[in-house]
Amino acid sequence: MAFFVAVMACGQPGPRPIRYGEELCEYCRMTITDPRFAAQLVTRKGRILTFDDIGGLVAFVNEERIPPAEVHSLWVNSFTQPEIQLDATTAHFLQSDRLRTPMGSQLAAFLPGREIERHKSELGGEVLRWGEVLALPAHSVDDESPGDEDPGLRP
Amino acid sequence: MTPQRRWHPRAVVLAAVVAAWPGTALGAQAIVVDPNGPVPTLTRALALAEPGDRIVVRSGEYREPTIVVRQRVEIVGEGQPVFDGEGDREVLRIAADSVIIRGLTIRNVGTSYLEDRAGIRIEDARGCQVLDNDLINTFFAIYLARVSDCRIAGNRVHGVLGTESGTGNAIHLYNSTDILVERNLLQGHRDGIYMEFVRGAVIRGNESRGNLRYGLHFMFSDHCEYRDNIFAENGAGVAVMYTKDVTMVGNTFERNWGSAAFGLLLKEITDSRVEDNRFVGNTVGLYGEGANRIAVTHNRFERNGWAVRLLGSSDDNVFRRNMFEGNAFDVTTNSRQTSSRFVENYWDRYAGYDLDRDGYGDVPFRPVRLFSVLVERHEPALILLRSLFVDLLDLAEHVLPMLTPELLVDQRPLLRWEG
Repeated sequence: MAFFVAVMACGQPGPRPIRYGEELCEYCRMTITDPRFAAQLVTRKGRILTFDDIGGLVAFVNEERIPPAEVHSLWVNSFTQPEIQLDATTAHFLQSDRLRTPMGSQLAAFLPGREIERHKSELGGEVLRWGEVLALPAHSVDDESPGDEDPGLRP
Repeated sequence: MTPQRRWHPRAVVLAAVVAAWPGTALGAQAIVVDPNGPVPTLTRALALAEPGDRIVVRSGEYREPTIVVRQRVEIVGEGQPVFDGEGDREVLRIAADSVIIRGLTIRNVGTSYLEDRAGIRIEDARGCQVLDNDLINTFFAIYLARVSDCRIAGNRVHGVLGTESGTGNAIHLYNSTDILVERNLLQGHRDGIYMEFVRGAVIRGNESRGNLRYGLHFMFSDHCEYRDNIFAENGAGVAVMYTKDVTMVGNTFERNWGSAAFGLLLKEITDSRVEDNRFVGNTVGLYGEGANRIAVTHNRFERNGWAVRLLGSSDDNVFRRNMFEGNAFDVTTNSRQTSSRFVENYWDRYAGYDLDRDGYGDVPFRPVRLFSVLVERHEPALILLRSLFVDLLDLAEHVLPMLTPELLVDQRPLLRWEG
């Protein structure tokens, strides 16, 4: 056990379980409560920043709130198994207006494969890679207005 | 459910009219739902009802598939009848104008990863009233989407705080206008009241406590007002985010403890009023980030860790005639420059004098302690809070301000708080 702890301590920086209901989103300051959409940024020094919405992580990265050289890795919770953190750069993302995320990015992360296809056929939307997610138009709060339809609420 | 007996609809209506509640509005019929009567389910009653009818539900337990209301009716519980979702489905869905739901108990709506299931869902409707209901262990309790001119009053909502995403919001308002939410008791949910794209809501006299995230949560909801509510022991009291023109008056924010618990979080909000509120015993009383042109007037900040924490681009806020007493820190900020002003506040730390007896201290008060500036830069320094070293630091800074914000000064500190 001691050996295990020692190995952990010396190892590469990596993500850790988020304390839901306690930790704040680094971007929007909201308390993180929904594990399905949470994300983390790990710095080279091993500091961990937590987010309640993948969109928050994206905005944080795009705005370079932390210099890119200091970013070690980016992690997104799996939508179907939120206790598993996926490497954001290799995960696949479903963007669907039926995904009601805390900050309205409508993004959820999956391992590549059948799961995401199944959810896409159920919820609709588009499958994106990390590069495409980064290139999405910035989530502009001022322009935001709800559409006429809100399919997320349909039975 | 008892086996359905075959009744001619006309006969049923006739029987129901005979059993009608005395004193119903003239012209409207009353249909009585009773587990042992001719109309044993609300679903059946709705199939029989004409627009404008009143449906009286006698006490008992009802287990029906999701009940959908498609016409203007009043549904009134007699002796708080129970509708049980049995852990999987929505209970009541309203898709008509001017529906009144009063005096029901709704329980056991299961959680779902994909849908926001609710005890009572109202969509695309006007003029609804949801009054005096009990909602117990519902994932979302009362859910309004694209609704206007509705009143949600006197409901008691009791969630069973599960783990993590196991709970939704007690009252959830989405894309709706002119909603009155009053005198509800909201407990054990994610947010007590959640509002997204709402205009013209009035939230008053509610008590929201023990919710996982916020007592009340505004997202993109302009021109709203909340007053005379109690927000206690939530993850954080109230969050007003990405919003403008909000009136916050007469509320109590108390005992929102926790490493990151705010009484009131103002994030990206402009042109609003915070007046006559009480902030008591919170980790941070009022936290502002990107908060601009907020008038903070005549509030009481008592026994908070930080009474006011004003970060980042928060400009042109005016704090006037507030009372600061027994807080570990009165005001902190992370920048030396600030355009926010503190005027004529009462500070229990103020040690000045009033020789001309005009009720205001003759020397200015600097509410930002040097130590709080250090803590802002290096949080673990907080461990030194009660040390002599820190007292000396504060004293030195008091005499010769070097690090604390130079403009953050109350030039006319009040000597007495008039209450």
